[in-house]
Amino acid sequence: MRERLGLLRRSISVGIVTEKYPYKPIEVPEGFRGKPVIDQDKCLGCGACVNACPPNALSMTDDLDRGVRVIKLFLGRCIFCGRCQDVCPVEAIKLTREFELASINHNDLYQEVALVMAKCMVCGRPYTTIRLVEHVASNLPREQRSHLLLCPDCREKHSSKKVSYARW
Amino acid sequence: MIWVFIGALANIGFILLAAPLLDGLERKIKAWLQNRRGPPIPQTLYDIVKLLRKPGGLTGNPGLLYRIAPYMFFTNMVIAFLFIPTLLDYSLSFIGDIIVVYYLITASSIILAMGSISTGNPFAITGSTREISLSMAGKLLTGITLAIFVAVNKSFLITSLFPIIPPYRLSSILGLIVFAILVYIEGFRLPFDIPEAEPEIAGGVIIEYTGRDLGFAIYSLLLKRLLYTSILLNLVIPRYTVFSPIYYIVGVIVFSILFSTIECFSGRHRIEYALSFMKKLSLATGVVLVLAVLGY
Amino acid sequence: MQSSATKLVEELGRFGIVEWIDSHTLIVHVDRSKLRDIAKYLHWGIGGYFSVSIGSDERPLDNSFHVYHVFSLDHLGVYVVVDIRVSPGYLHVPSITPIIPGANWHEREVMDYFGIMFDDHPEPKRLILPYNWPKGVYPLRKDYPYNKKVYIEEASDEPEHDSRFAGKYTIIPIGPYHPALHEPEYFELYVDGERIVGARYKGFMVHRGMEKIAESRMTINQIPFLAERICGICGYTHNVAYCQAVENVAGIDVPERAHYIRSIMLEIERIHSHMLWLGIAFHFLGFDTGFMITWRLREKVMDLAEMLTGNRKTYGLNLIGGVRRDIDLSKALKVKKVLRDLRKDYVDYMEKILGLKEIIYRTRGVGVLDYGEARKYSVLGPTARASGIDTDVRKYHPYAAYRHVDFKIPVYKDGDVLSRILVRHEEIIESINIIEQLLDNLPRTPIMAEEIHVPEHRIGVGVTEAPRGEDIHFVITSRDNKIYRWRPRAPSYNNIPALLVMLKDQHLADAPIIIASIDPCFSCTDHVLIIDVRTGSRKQVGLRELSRRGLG
Repeated sequence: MRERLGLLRRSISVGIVTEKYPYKPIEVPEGFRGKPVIDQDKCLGCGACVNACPPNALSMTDDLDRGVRVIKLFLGRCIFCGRCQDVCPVEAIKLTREFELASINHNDLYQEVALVMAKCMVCGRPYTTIRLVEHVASNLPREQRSHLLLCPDCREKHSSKKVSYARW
Repeated sequence: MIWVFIGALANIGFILLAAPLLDGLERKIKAWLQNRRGPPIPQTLYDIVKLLRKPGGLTGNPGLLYRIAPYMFFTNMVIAFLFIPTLLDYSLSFIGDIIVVYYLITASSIILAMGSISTGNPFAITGSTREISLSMAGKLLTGITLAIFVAVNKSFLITSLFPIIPPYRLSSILGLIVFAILVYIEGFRLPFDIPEAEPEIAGGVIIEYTGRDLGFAIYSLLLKRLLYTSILLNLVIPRYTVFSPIYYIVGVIVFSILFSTIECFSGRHRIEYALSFMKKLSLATGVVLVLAVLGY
Repeated sequence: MQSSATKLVEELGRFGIVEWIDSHTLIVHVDRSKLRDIAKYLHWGIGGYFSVSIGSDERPLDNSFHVYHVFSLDHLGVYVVVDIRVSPGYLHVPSITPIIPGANWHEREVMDYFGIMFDDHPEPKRLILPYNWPKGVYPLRKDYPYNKKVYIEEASDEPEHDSRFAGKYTIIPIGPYHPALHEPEYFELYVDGERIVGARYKGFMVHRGMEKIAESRMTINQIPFLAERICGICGYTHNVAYCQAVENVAGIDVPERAHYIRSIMLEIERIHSHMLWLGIAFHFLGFDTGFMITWRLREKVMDLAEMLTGNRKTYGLNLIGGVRRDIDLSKALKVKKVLRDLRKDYVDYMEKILGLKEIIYRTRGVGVLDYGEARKYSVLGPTARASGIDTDVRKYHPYAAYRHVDFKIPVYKDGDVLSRILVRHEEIIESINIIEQLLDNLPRTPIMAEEIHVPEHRIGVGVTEAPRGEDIHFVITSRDNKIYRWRPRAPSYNNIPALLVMLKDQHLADAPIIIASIDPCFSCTDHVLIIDVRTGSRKQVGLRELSRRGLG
């Protein structure tokens, strides 16, 4: 009996703790891992996030006909681990504190970034995004930049040619 | 006579509304004691209205008894309320009406349990065996307790039983205490909600009902709870005054608060513990009955 | 200590070739003729216990299958992996189940997945795969692609009831959906009146095929996030166990601060898990207010986890080599303050709740698992500690930062539900103490190892003490940043078979609390199967149908 009265007393002193949640917003702390958002202006299209993403929520497809690379985020698969944020070289993808993702429109769960691709100087095939070329170029010494304008295949041929010239 | 009838009907209308609302109140109080906001007070009423509007689907091909059990239960309860004054002081009465009320209460428990057994669902069967053993013990206790008041007032007429006229005798005070405990037990409150015991047997006696049938079954259980409370109240509150409706309303609310608070801080007993508790209580009540007959 | 380990190596030398895999794990390559002797020696002879069996298809490596039995030797702080090579021409291994009943499921799982037969197994039936799964299709073999679909047409010939009881007693089906189970599993209770005379368990309904996915298409640093999703309650402990397995293989020197942060989060997880369990136990005892109280207190712990890791439950904190987030001073102070208040509140509430008559009455002497049975089934964690077995990975195989803290292991002898409640109750308080000690002594080091290089084809064992008991992850590494074989074993895998012993001769009313008392985590146990959603062929008899038969 004493225990029951003690519990009663404590119950009364605590009061009501549940929140009127859907009607009243809930604060989440700093550093909460919520919905990731891709910054269209910063994204280079390098695909680092795509490689790191454990559940394959991020995907990368090259549309060679249109000459664009599409980075696509599907929130339906996202596990909010934040690995994409860790590996992004330019902080283009960031986790926000937003967590209410329910929607009646399926498309609300997708984010897409389409980036124009650079065409190879030799064969004319699109091989990577212009932004990525620019980004890498800015980090390379001037004399090495010319390689960047070739697609990997042509670059291979080109450099093997160079090597063979050197040998002669 | 016609006024008595109209008054009794008004009473029925009142209790049909009051029973779910009181349950809503109890849910609210329990929520507060558990530091929750809880559902709005009319929630039980909404639930029942919603259930009553849905078709009752019965699985398989259960017996007739099972189909009609909720309705018979409900009718029994409504008829029983004709004999018990609630909000207004009107009620039907004839010599021996207390036996009729007693019969109606007992029959409804048995009907529910028997109907449930006929479904063959093992959960329902377990629930029913529990319900039958508990209700046997409960009805025995009800019988002995009512007999105490009959002995005290020397009448089989309900209206003359109510209220017990002061000065209280020892046996009537003890009888009232026992009856208050009985109201709690028969109201299928924790720790005595063993026949339904959701985590154990998933609803037990009412597991196979759905929609309208379930609505009536739950409604009837709530009415039964209120019926017991009303009998208890009628034994103590003064009748035939302008204030008797107020006394009554205050009374049921006070009991709701008291009982839901007790329920909030109890766990569920196992059936054999509940039965042995009731056995002991019945023996003690038997002694009180002897006292009452002897005139103490 | 060192000398006794040397002695152990000598002793084990009698059975086969012994090697150290890492500083606290031995591997013994034994011949099939010596297998039973070594199993008997390790489990019954020198006070170790059987932990897990692993099958592995290593035909691409050394043209053979392997079966590994892992034993824990608590008093020496050593894990012993017994390795039996099975040639593809003769897929037979002597069963150790006649010696250690706890190995029953483990061996049947290997049978299902690899087609390796265990001779003299007392119950050589399918465990995980449905009965009508095509013969000769073994999903975890390396020649079975992870995305291959199997279509099942024929009907299952699985017996529906236990023939010893069916027909004589009422059958009470608990599950696959029942208010007492929060995950789909199936217990069939044979009941005489209100007394349970027998029980049958049927599980593995929450298959997710995690092992196969991890081995086929995930990289080493992606698997921690998958491992965390093995369990919805104690996921982080799986995450840590996996990372430790790989770190042990690679000999990575994880910085001390990372160890401390891991331990802190593991203990936070333990508090939340135990409080969750206490709440559910009270709910099953009909005491819903107790449920509300413990869950309200637990919410504060969840808030701490959210503040420290960015999420309430999936902490996503680990990578191989360290942790991803640091704990700064202001957060540490906040944690300490919250925990101080929590301890006061919690102790006060529990003193009152455990004084309630009906709680004690309904748990004392209920669902008893005595010491002998507990040893037979190799039960783990609080279930073992309530049955008088003094075992705790944190103490006897210290990992992360547990060697730097001081804590007690509650052990009770009665083996009933009440003991299990009390063990967990005391562990919550111990966990709060541990976190406080760790926060006071957080070393100032980086939180991620600098150099990470994982060698190929090496065996690693990572173990943690999950809230439910020893959680063991067995890893064989591979090339290209991948894992060759990954076998996580959650503690409930060893605990659930013991339930059938506990349920016997109990009241039906107590069945939910007994089932709940081992804190079963069905998803953890089941995660392993390869899935084909379309299969769904594990035929469940409807409640209705069962009930009809129950009567007849």
